[in-house]
Amino acid sequence: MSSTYIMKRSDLLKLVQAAMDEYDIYGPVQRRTTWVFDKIDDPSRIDMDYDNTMMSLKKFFIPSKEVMMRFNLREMSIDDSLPDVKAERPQLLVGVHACDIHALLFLDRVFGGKYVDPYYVARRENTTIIGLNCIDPCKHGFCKSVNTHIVNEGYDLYLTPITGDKYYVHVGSPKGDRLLTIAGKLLREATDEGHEAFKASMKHKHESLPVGLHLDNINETFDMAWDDPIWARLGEECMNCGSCALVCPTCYCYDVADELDLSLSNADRTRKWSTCLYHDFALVAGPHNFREDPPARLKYRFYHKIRGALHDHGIIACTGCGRCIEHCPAGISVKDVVYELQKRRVGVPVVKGG
Amino acid sequence: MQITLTRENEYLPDLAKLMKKTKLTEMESLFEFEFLDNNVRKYFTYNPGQFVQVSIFGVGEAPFSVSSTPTRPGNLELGIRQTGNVTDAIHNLNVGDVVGIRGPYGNGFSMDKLCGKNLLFIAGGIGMVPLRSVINYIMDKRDDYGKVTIFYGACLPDERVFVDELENVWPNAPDVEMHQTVDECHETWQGNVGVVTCLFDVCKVASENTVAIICGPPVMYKFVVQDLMKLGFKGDDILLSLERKMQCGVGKCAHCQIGHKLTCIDGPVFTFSEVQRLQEAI
Repeated sequence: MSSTYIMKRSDLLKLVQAAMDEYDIYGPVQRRTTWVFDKIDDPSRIDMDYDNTMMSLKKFFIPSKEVMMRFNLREMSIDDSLPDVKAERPQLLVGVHACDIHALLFLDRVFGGKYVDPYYVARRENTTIIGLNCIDPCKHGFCKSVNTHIVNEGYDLYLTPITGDKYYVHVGSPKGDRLLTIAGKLLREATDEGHEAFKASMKHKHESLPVGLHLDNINETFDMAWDDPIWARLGEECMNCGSCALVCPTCYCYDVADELDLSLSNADRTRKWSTCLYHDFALVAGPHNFREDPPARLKYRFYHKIRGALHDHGIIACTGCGRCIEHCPAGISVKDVVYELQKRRVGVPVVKGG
Repeated sequence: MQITLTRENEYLPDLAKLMKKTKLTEMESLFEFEFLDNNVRKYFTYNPGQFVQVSIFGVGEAPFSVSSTPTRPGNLELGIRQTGNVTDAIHNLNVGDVVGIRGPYGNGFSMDKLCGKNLLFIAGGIGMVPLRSVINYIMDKRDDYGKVTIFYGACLPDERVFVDELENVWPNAPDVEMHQTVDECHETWQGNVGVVTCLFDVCKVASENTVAIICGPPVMYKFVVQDLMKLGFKGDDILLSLERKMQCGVGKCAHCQIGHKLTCIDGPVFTFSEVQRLQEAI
C-alpha cells in the first residue's frame, strides 16, 4: 500500500512558502463577493475554506487569449510560441476541488487524442496540483449527482480535511513526490489514527453531499428530447451572453484570428475563448449561419456538453461545479434542465433537491 | 498507403507557393500550390473529399476542399470562391506568392469501399469543388468503378465551375453520363432549366449497386435526398459532404460540431443514415 501522510492545516502555508522558489503559485483568494484563483506571493492569502471560484482553472491551460505563432511577413517565416510556453516557470495550483480536477481530466481528452494540442499539453505537464477534498457541499455545486465528487487521478497531492485541524494527504504522481521532498518534516506518515480520521471525513462527505439527479440513460434522453418544449422556453429566457461557457471549467471552444502589428510586417496568430452562444459561432461564408436562432444555440450547448462529450470522450462535460448556475443572469440551471428531461424521459428515482 | 508526417505542433502550417491561378467564374478561381519543402512535397497526399487549412499570414486561416486528385501527383489544386477576408486575400495573390497550408484533414471518401459501384454525383454550384477530386480519381482508375452519372446544377450558366471538364472531358469518358441544369435561363443556354432535382426527370437513375455522392449548398440536400429515397436509395448509399465553420481543423475548437459529431474529424463526408441521427445536420 502506498503511503499516506498527515499535515497540520496551518503547515500548508509553510509548504507553499517553501515551494515558492520553484513554482509560480496560484490558490483561492477571496475577492469581494467571490473567490478567484490568484497568484500567491503571500501564502496567508490562501483561503482553503472557499466555496467556489468564479473562473475555473482552464485559464491556466488555455488562456483567454494566447499567441500561437508569429508571422514575419517580409521573410515569410513562422515563429512558433510553443518553445516559450514550454519555458514558462512551473506552476503550482493549490486547493483544487474534485470537480475542477475532473474538468482537467476532461480537457486532457479534448486536447489529446489523434491530434495533440501542444500548447495545452505543455502547460499541463508544467503544472502541479494540490487537490482539496470537499467534505461539505458548496452553494451551487451538484458534483455527487454527476459523479465528480471523488477523484482517483488528476492530482499530485490530495488533501482531505480531518479532525484536529489536519489534512490527510494522498500522493498521486512523481510531481507529488517532489512536493513531499519540499515539504520535508511538515508531513509525517499517517498512522491508524489518521486512517480512521480519513474514514470519518469520507463518511461525513458521503452523508453531507446531496444527490439531486442521475445520469442513467442520459444519451437516450437527449436523443429523444430534441423537440422537447423545454428548449423553446429556455431559448426565450437565455440572453446568449455566454457567461455560462466562460465560467465553465470544461467549455474549451475557441476562435482563431490573425492580428497585424502597426508596421504591417509582423502578425500574431491568436486564439481566444469563444462560446457557442455567440451569433457568429457557426457562421460561414456566404453568409450562412447554421444556428441563426438564439434558442438553437442554447440547445446546441446542452447537446454538445452532454451528448457530444459522451460521443467523443465517453464522459459528459458537466462536472457539477455549479458556476454556470451561479452566474447565469437569466437564472437558467443546467441541473434543473437535466433533471426535468430525465424525469420526463426515464423517470427520476431520486428526490429533487441539493 | 497514406504516409503522415508526424509533427509536434499540428497548428503550424507548411509553406507553399502559388504556381498557377485560373479563373473559373466571376467569383471563383482555381489555385495551384506547391509545397516549398521537398519532404512535404514528397509525402503529402490525401483522399478525395478531404480538406486543407490555408493561411494568409496576417489575415487568417480557412478550410478548403481539395479539387485535385491524388492520382495526379503534383500541385495541390483548390477551387475557391471570393467571399470573405481570407478568400479575398487568396484571390489577390500573385503567382509566386507564399501561403501556409496544413492538412489534409477530415475523412474524405472511402474510395476502396466504392470500388465496383455505380456512382451518381449530384453537385450544386461550388459543391463540385470536392466532387471534382472524386470524379477525376475515378477517371484515372476507370476500370475499378461502374457507371458514372453526373448531375450538375448552377444558378446561371456563367456560374458553373470546371466548365471544360463538364463540357469536354467527362461526357467523353467511357461509361459516363453527364447532365447539367441552371436555375435561370440565358439566351445562350440550350440546356436544362430548373433546380438540380429536375435532372431526375431527364435521366432515369437505377439505385441498384449505386452510391449517390452529394455536395452543394445547404438547401439542396433535403430535396435531393427525398428524390433519391423515392428511387429506392438506402441511407447507407447516399454520401454527403457537409460544410461548417472550422477554425482548427483537428477537433479542438468545436465550431464544426453537428449534433454529437465533429465535421472536421468524423466528416465532412457522412452517410445519410448518419445525418438522420444528427439533428440540425441538413
